[in-house]
Amino acid sequence: MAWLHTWTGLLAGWLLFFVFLTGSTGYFYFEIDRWMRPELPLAGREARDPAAMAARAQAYLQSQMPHANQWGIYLPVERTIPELLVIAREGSGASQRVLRTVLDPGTGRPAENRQARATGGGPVLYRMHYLLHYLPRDIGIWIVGACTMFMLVALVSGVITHRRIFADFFTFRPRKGARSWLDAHNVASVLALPFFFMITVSGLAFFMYQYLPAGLLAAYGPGPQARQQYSRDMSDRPSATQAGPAAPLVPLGALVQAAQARWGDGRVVASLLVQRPNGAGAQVQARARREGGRSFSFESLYFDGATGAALAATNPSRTRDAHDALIGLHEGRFAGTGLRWLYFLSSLLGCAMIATGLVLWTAKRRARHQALVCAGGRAPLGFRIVEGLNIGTLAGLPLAIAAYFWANRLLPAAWPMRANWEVHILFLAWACALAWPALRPARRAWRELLWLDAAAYALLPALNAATTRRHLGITLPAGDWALAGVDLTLLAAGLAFGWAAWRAGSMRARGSGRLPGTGTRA
Amino acid sequence: MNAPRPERQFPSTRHEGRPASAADRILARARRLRPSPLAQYRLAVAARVLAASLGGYVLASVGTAAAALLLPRVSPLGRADAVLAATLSGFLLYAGCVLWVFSVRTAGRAWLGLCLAAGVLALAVVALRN
Repeated sequence: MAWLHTWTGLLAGWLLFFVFLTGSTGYFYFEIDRWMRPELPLAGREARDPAAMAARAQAYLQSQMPHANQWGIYLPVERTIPELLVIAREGSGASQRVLRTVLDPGTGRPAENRQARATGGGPVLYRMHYLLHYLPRDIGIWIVGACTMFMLVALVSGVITHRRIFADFFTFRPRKGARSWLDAHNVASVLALPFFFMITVSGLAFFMYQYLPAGLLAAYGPGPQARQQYSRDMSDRPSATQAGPAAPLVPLGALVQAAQARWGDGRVVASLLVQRPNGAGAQVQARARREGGRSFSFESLYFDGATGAALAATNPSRTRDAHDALIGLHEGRFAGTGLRWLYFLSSLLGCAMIATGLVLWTAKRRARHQALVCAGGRAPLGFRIVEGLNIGTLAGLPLAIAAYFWANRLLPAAWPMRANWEVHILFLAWACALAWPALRPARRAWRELLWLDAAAYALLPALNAATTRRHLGITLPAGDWALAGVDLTLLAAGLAFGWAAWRAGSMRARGSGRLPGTGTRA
Repeated sequence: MNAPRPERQFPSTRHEGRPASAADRILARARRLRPSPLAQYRLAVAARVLAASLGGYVLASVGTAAAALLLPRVSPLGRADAVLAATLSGFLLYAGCVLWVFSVRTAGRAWLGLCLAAGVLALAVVALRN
């Protein structure tokens, strides 16, 4: 089992580090997105009435696209929806028309001053963690899925290998080379072990029929029709009776109040999905605000679009609830501020677990190659590749992500290609960091890249202050914690990398060669 | 639960105390054609890796299919629910297969076990579909 743990961990380690680190940013993707669009106004803090906003959105959609197939109305009650957003779709196929407008929640008219620089922002950064950005969608998903299976196997075999899991949790032997890295690996792994299992298993649940279609094929057969039949069987949407005459849609403001009264526990409506507004068999789905709630996934109520009568959700299913809960747990949309930070820190612990495991691999083997290196030779190629990938990824990927933030501020705001180049710069920076250890001795490469990380993160708030009007001097007095939090977190990351770089340097200065993987004294 | 090791150790090809006969020379040549212990070790590891990745996937797939067809007959779950439950469990079955393949004594046993289990489950799938 130790063998299996070592090799599954090593083979998938670097990609898993990428998945964990870019995935961690996903818990704050909205805040990062705000930071990357500094032209947008500061966050307003006035309380708004969902019913009144729904009524204004309905009036706007009625005037623009009364016979759409579907309306979506997203109220600014969730943290991720800062403004009143409406989306409508009409027609199908090539002739489909999509209307997507941000409305002023107070007036219901299209909001002005919504122009911001083109940027991939937070979503592109977090979608990388399962799409791998440049690859075709299916291939990216498959590679990440395979790595997730590696992770699952490494987790289980790691726990089996680790017999004294409780005692070792309280053990840390600093300055002892490989043994210290082993202790650090154990502490990071055990501290958030339930989170790692949850995030791994639920990660597989997103695209499970792409990974393991056998069950679906056996029970439903191949083809898109079979898949649609499965989706219909799984849906809890009340079946629509499309018979009968078309009728105007009920006032949505009253419907929002009805939904909130039915919940009766202070939950508010966050979005409304209307099927066939003003048509035969119109149906309204009201979804509750998730953030800070008790349910992991969406809670919906259904209403008849012509009469406003509540429709019973059909087809209760514990299995679907379990699957929804897994997806909800992975995304953490239900998490309030405190729990969101716990999610973020747990993901960073995942990065630490992977990083310490990878460094441990080299630390254990370095002693074996030490004599060879002292005699003027070189360590074996495999060892040097692992060490280079460790340096270039564990210290280099954070640098690449910092470069993404720098590119957002430094590329000309009006340049049409800027959104693409922000991402290109991320991967170019990573490529440079991967090449660096090939040119420099390992210890120096570690230290140099870590200092570069420290500078890149710590200076980002200063760069922000120099280039925008959304810096800490403005966001802190205004109490806009979403924006200020990003700057402060970047600063904290800079300090953490500075500490790591200083540690790496001071170890070398002591001359004992006990740097990331510089040998055991045991 | 140990790491895979070379499965057989070969006796030395050198015979002391008597001159090599023609038969000995042929035997020695044949032994040289045999893979060295290191190559054997690597072959055994490759066989296990294949068994775990491909064999495990096939077994997980057949197991998922069998469970998806069996669950509606023996439990109150509907067809769609059975597919969902079977698929979610399928990943755990896959992980279990990988761990098992690396815990049995030889790669041959791992392959044998996987083939037997997959064969039985495949028969179950055929029977349940009819």
